[in-house]
Amino acid sequence: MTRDGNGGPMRTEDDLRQALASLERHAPSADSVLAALRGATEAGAGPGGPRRIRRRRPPAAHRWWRRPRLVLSLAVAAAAVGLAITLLPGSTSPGPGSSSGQTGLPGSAHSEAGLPTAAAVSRAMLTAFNGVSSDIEYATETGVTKGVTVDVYRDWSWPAQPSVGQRQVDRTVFAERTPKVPALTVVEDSALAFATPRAGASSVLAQLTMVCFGGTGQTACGFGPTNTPPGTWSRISGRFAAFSSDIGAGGFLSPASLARGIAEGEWRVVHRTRIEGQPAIELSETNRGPDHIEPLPTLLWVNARTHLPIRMVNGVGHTTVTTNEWTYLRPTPANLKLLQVPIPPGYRRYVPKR
Amino acid sequence: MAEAALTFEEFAAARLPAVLRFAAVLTGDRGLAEDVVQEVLLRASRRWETIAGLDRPEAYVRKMIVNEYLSWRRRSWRLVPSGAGTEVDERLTPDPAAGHAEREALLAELARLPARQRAVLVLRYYEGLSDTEIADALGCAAGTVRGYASRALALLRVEMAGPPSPAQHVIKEKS
Repeated sequence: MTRDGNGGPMRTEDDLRQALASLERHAPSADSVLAALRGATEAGAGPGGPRRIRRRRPPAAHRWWRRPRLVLSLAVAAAAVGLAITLLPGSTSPGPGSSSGQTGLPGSAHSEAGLPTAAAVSRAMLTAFNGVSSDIEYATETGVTKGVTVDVYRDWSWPAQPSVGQRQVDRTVFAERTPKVPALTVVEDSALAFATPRAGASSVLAQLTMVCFGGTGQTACGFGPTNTPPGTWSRISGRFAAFSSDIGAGGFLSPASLARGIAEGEWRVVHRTRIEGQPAIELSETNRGPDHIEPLPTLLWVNARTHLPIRMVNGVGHTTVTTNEWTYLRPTPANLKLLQVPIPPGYRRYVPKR
Repeated sequence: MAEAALTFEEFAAARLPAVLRFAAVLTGDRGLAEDVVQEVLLRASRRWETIAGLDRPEAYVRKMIVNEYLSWRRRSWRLVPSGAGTEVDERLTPDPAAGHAEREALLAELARLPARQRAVLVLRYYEGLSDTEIADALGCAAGTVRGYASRALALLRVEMAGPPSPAQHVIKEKS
């Protein structure tokens, strides 16, 4: 092995081949996939949509690179988000007492058009995050395919920027629309509680609470190796992949990620505008830096006063447009209740086999 | 027997292990690999007559898998830690032979690559596809593929030995 200019190890293509081949050990069992497929086809997966184990991940976005692209305006996407959120139970508000702290824009760096530079905005965001570090991060992610909202994630993470060892709770409510169930329907509600691991940890010992709703055709709600059947709930302790809020150490808007973005010119300021009545700075992601979000373009709106993120739209011009929105809630007793997963009456507890 | 003559059940029974290995390498995550393959095969089963009529149905299915992987949206990133980027399963214990710190470090860096860069590396260095074939799979130009690859290799500090040899362009066949 040779060294690069900074004294780091240089790898060979064979090192890469061997590393990739070693990932074969993660291959799932063919028997279980075949069984699921047979179950799906016997259940008539055709027009009704597949019956499957739904993991705590987004469903297929059905984006095909060679299909004609459907251009969706941001207004359409934003309207779809609003519609999606109002369709969800208990979703009229993310919670009372959302943060509205203000931060000043550090430095006086402005672009030629009188706009702040992306670096100045990013630095202001870093400062703003400090002001909400103990708040609850409420984030939604909405997928709109061909103008139709296909899924919505609602996520509460507390604290928004936990320190190592601090107890962290993350609750996610996932809703989707399928050909069989055209109304946006809540599929699962889950929460993970764990002690925040050190940066870079890949897993945590955590307690998972999962409520799996029936009605959209899924055969189970999967989380790691655990599958909770529809109409039941489970609570298990185990080792799971590490989680992070979006502005936490492992999030895509983490301070480290933002700092890297500043250094590498990941964002550029487009203009000032208003979002949901808030004065906002619109940024557009460039293709610089190792972490850019696929597919471009990605637009990000930051509150011009608080410098907290408001909304991000990804994939404009592609078949599926994804919109993320953020609100930071004070950890009041009422808001902390939002972190709890209510068990629906009549649901029995499912105990996975060990 | 030509692949085109296979029924979907025969194809799945014969080729599923290889397809699952590919998905595992592509995603680095057993759960995600299972989800992606499941989604793709369900869709493929509904139009198997068309796919079976293609020259290389398996190559088409792999292309579907790559597209499916690339279409998983950002929320899933929350599950990808800044470490190894693989979902932890207690049934998986580290392979002692592969447990060298350097390889683990390389895998961790691979997990942090943008999905498209990772897909290019997997198609080139695991599947052995040429840049033209990768471009076809991803729906972009070969020059774009080279750009993704060189960027990813630079991030991973991988030295290129030289132009890929023709032998590396042969698709690996695994049963």
